[in-house]
Amino acid sequence: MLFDDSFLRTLESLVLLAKRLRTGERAGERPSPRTGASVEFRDYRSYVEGDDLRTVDWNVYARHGQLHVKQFSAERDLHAWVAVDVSESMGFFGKRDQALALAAAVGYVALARGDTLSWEAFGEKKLAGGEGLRGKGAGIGFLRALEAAPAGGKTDLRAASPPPGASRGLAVVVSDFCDTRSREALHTMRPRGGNVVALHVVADEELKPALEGPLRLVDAETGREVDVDADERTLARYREALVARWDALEAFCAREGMPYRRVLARAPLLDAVAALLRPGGALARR
Amino acid sequence: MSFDRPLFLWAFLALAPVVAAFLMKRRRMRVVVSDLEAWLAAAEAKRAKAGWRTIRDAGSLAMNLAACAALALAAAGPRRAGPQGTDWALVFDVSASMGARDGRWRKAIEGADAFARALPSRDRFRIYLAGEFPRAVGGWRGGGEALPVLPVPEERAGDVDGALALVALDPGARPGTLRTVVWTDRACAADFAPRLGKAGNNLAIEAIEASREWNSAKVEVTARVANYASAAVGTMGWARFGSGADDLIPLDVGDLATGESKAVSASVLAPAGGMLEVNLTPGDALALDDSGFAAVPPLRRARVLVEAPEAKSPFLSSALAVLSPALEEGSGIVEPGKAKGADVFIFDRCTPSAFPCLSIALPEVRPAVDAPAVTSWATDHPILRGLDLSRLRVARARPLPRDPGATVLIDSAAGPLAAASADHVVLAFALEDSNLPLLAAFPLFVRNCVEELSRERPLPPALTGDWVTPFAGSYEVWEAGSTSPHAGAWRAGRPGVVIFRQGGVSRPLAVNFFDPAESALVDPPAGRELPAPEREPSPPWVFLAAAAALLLALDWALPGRR
Repeated sequence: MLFDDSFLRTLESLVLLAKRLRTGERAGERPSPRTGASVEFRDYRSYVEGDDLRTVDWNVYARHGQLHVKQFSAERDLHAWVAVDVSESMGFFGKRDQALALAAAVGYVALARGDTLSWEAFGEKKLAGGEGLRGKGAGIGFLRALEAAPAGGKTDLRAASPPPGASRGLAVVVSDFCDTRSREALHTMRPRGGNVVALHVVADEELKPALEGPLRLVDAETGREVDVDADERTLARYREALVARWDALEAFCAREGMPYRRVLARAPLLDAVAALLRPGGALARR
Repeated sequence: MSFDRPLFLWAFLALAPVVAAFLMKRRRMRVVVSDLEAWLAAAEAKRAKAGWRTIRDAGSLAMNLAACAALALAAAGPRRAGPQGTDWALVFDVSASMGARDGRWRKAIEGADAFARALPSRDRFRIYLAGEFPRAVGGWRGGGEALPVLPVPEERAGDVDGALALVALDPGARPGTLRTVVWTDRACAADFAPRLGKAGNNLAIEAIEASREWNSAKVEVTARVANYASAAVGTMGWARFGSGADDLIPLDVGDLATGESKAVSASVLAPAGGMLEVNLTPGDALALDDSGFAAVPPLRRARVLVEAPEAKSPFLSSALAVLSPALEEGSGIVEPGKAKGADVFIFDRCTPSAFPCLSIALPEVRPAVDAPAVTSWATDHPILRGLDLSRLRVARARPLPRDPGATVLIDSAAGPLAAASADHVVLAFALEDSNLPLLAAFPLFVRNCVEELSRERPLPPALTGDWVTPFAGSYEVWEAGSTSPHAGAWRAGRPGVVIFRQGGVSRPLAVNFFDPAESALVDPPAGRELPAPEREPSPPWVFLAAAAALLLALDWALPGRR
């Protein structure tokens, strides 16, 4: 199991946040702009034929002599979609484990809150996934399926596409965003779901690689090679380029209104989850 | 090219590790990374310098290989190819005059040592000694080496020309490179003859004679002293047996003019005999000729034995009786073969089995001659000195053969009537057949015969450099101060005393240095200046090591070094 009981209880106290909340079709615990059968009063309107007489406010009728019916807010669920990158590049420095743990945490929070959860583990294609999971009872199966998800392949965020039902919900993408087309893929997710959260898993070892001397670097996903003399100047340039890429992604997410969080691969999971609780994050306390 | 330490050429194998290290360095380690994009951006700037990097790496390899090769060559100690070095024959005159106290030998040694040390390494030198017998000392030595220890010059001659001939015949000399330097105090035709010091005054003992009167404790010592100085010199001398100060016998030499030679004598009672040492004082320019030695036998009574088949001649007995105080043993009859231990044997009318002897009559090997007339006698011979034999008459005799090894003492028309050699005296007639016993000269004749035959004959003094063979067969030679004897042929070295022993017989020998040619020290000739040795160029290894250091520094300093 990915989590112990205490951590699960911690997760159960959290809730997924979305800037532009578009609830789902199923009843849930989230307020909806629609009227429904919840206990939360919303408005009055004039009675029309066919309205349920149980909704007539008889006190108003006694005071004004006109029939009005009470309207209540409808509560719907949130369809959360968690896409976790399990490509080859995620196999370095514990990034994949951290990504799976984050995806599991977010998914479990959704299930515990009564939201609908769809998830997907992807590389250059969808490798594993599930749709329409609801309730804490599905949590164990979700966690086990996530744990058993295969890994490998190139990173291609375009292979991660939310199911139709989740298009109006919350999309959480956990990846190292090695794909140069990551920003395009994130952008294309917006019109569908509206809310996209980018969790960028990075490693200290990537920022400070313990490399020295003449090297032939091989890309783990593409097999592409490049000869590098890992001296101080080259390493400095490498760090500059890497940080620039990360900052560019963060700036893109900021422009697109997507919450972006950079999570260290070696950081304790609790700290990583806590990072999502910060303002502008994907989680909040109930 | 040749090398001092060719084993170090194996260090060239170190080039292989250098090349291997270079190739290993060039071989890039494959590292799989999660993302190459940032690396690509970082490597972009480097890629522009790839061409320089290739040149730099090849240049680095070349410089490292060249540096390693230079170090290996330097360690092997290469020698310069080029002109062959010079072979120097350093000839030293080791005649006694070179040992003069004016320091000419020291100057020669110091000058030669400095010269040898200053020679470049490609030059060689060899030492030759010009003594009585020119000879080489050791083999060829490399330039820069120190001079070996050379013997003190004390030989009686310095054959410089012989040494130069020996140098010319040296098969080890490199053809066309041989040059000679001679250190001598006499003129020579060598390439170089450095000028030596100036001689001082010199007195020398030219001869020593020490003789004992027969049957007497008195020893007459005579030394001849010569002045080779350029001015008159007065000196004293002394003689002594043994080493005690009380034994000194003064010899008043007095003043000697230039070139003058004077004999000084002294008498001394020395019954025990021994080795007599004569010295001049004070010392002068040459110490070697200021001493002389002589061997003096001890005083002892002669032992005479008479062998007669019949009754001993009364005349002979009477004559010997007169000598009895000088004889250790009176006359007596001994059998042939039992005569061992006596000094003189007298065979009266019988045949001696062996000499030495005084034989009164010979066996009848020749027919007898009646009344041979005495024609002459050897008045200058020690046996007949001062005797008048004009009245000698011989009734019958058997004249002796004329032996070239014997001296005829009494001659007659029929042949020799008496002859003497070193160890025997023979009469050709019986005493009873002549009037010799009746003459006044007879007792003197017998005395002279006994004295002459029994006289102790010390070995004739030897001169330094002489080969001495005192005995036939094997014998030992004990030199003064030596703890073990020398066996076999012996050549006199330093002046002094040596003892020869064979069986139980010991014979002393005096060795002297009497050589006017060496004692007459002269000013050394004006020598030519020594050539300045060629300046030793820096050895090649220095340049090689410097080149290696420069290459390594250049490799380090070139930009782009990993």
